[in-house]
Amino acid sequence: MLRHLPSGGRGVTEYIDDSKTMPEPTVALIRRIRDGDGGARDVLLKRYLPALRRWAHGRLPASARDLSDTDDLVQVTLLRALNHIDEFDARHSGSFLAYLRQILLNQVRDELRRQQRRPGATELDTELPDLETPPLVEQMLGHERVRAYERALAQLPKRQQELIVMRMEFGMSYPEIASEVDSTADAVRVMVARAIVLLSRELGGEGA
Amino acid sequence: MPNENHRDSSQRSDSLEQVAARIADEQPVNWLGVDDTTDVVSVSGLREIEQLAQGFRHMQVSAVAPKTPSSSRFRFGALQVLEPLGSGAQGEVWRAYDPLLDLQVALKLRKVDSDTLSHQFLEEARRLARVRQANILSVYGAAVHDGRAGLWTELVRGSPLSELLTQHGPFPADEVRGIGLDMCHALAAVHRHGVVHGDVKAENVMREVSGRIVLMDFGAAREFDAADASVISGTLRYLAPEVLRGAAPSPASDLYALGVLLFHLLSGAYPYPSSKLEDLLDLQDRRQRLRLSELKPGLPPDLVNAIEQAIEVDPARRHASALAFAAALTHKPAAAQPAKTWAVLGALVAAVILLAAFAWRASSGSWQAEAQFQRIGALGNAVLADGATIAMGDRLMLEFHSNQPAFVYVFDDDDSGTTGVLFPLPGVEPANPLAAGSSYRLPGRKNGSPVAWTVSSHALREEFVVIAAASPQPELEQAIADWQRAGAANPEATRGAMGLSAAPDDNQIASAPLREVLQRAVRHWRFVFPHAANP
Repeated sequence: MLRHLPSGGRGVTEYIDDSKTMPEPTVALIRRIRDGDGGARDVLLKRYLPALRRWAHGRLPASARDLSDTDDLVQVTLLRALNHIDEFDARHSGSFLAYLRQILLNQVRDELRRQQRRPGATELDTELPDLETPPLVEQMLGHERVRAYERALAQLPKRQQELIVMRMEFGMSYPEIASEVDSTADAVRVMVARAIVLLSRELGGEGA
Repeated sequence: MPNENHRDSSQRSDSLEQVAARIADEQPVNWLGVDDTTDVVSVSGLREIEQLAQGFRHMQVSAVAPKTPSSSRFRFGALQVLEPLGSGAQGEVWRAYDPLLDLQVALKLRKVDSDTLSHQFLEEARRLARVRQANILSVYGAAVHDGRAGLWTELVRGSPLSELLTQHGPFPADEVRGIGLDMCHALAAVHRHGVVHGDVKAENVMREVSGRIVLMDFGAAREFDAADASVISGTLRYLAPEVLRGAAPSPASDLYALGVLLFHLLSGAYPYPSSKLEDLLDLQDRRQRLRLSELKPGLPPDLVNAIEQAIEVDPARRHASALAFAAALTHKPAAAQPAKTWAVLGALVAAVILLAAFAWRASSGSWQAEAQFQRIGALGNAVLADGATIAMGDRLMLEFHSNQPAFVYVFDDDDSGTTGVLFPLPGVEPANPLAAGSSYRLPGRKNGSPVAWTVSSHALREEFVVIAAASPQPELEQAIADWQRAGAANPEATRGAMGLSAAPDDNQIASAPLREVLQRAVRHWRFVFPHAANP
């Protein structure tokens, strides 16, 4: 059966084929990994790697953004997280991605610090040294704006943070998020909108 | 009433939630339809989030797009050049892949056979690179290789407004207003960096598929100081009359070009119906141009006025800045159109200013006085330079210092029909005269606690007039008393709370205090702060 979601996912409309099995919730996968299920580990890796790569691509400084560097960072982060999965508190479904994002964000900051200590070779005109350095996300949005967003986001309850991160930063569709948080796409859409209103109050307050 | 409040608050959050849902759905938001007066903090935050969401989306798209080309035409430094996108007088534009940025980019190439030319080309990159704003093309890098200079920028996927105009005919008024506001904020950012764009026209403004409006092509841009009037660049129909007559390009000529662009988008025509220089000069000399209201009857008058003001022949009569143009373009619902009461105070203080300046020079002697507005912030106060943007909720104070005792009067006047007396205020210390040699923070203290002026109503701009005199000004005092009786005097000094009803005739009020005021030593300051139109 094809169900029309008037405003879900990328683009104006999206068609979800309900006849296909919905992806297994992350919480269930994590439970299976803890029980030593190697297959579940692979499923989780495949599920998160593309989104994390895209995300890290925008967050890394340009000089560290070549494909192998990004891949290394993302893969190592994900592998480490899986190796320490017992430490991860899975009581809140959906928070695994936010947990990974936080680890990656810390790694990216370490990487940025390393970059700053290491004088990099660049082919660009030497009089334009700053054009190349900042991560893409800061090039597009500006350093201050990204920082203000991070600060405002940190003020929100964890669940709201996760919804915003999944939708806005990772570009996940509503059905994808629904499977993460064990809900429906329509309910997720409403929850994301409310989380954005909360974020707007924090962010709007920043500039006042 | 609590019930009323509850209902208001739920209505507001519904509408905010709808806006938030559109952002989450990646749909364009019609900001003109959003009431930004009730919850300015959230609306301003939502605008930020829309920009953030666009940025995040752009990164995701660029990260998944097929980037590593199978067959590149040639290389330019590290860039793999893929296909031509267009060419112009100033060079060719190619789609290219930047492996370092891992992005598809637009690469502008130009043959340079001299150091001077390559220097000029890199100058464009530096100028653009300094300006970062959502409606301005982002520059990623620039270099010279093998006698060719290249500048690579974000690849904007969309169409120039000129093409959209040809395909679909004139734009609707609301859309033109939106484009105008975006371009005003882009130009404000450009001008803040001491640069003029120099070639604002329909061909140089793109509408991205996401709806974002982007100002492109800074090939004609230059710094104000370095602007050389001998090199005319830009497009004749968009060039300001003074530039056609030999003046260097300026922010005012950019605003003229933007006015022509908006005129053109609305009507498909240009203000002067000729592209020949001699005809243009002649028509401008005779002030003979097409009128928007005649070409397209039924347009919102405030939009027509804002555009017509931008294309005044005399640059001094145009909007004072890009932000002032934005303020004039900001939609005002018909019900909120101001009564003309503000003109009363406007006429009074304008006349005081013009004539008092003369009196001041004649009789001031060694009187030294300073007045400076400050915005009170959590991290300390910030000086508000004339022309700085203010927003709802801002708390303001005036720092005043004089080496002689002074009778100080502070008035505020906005364009929403609200006039206010900000100082002196009943129940607030200090009162006139202010002592010599002391610094005051006005309005002062009420019951021992410092008070501030709070911007509590929405308007396009606020105009403050500060008058300091060596002796009391009975006519001003009388006018203040009358105004306070006419409106609801507000001892909290909250801006926007003071209404003025039955306004006396302009001439009466303007002339009565003046004759007396001018006999005495008077100092004045005038500050204009536009409201943030698009936070």
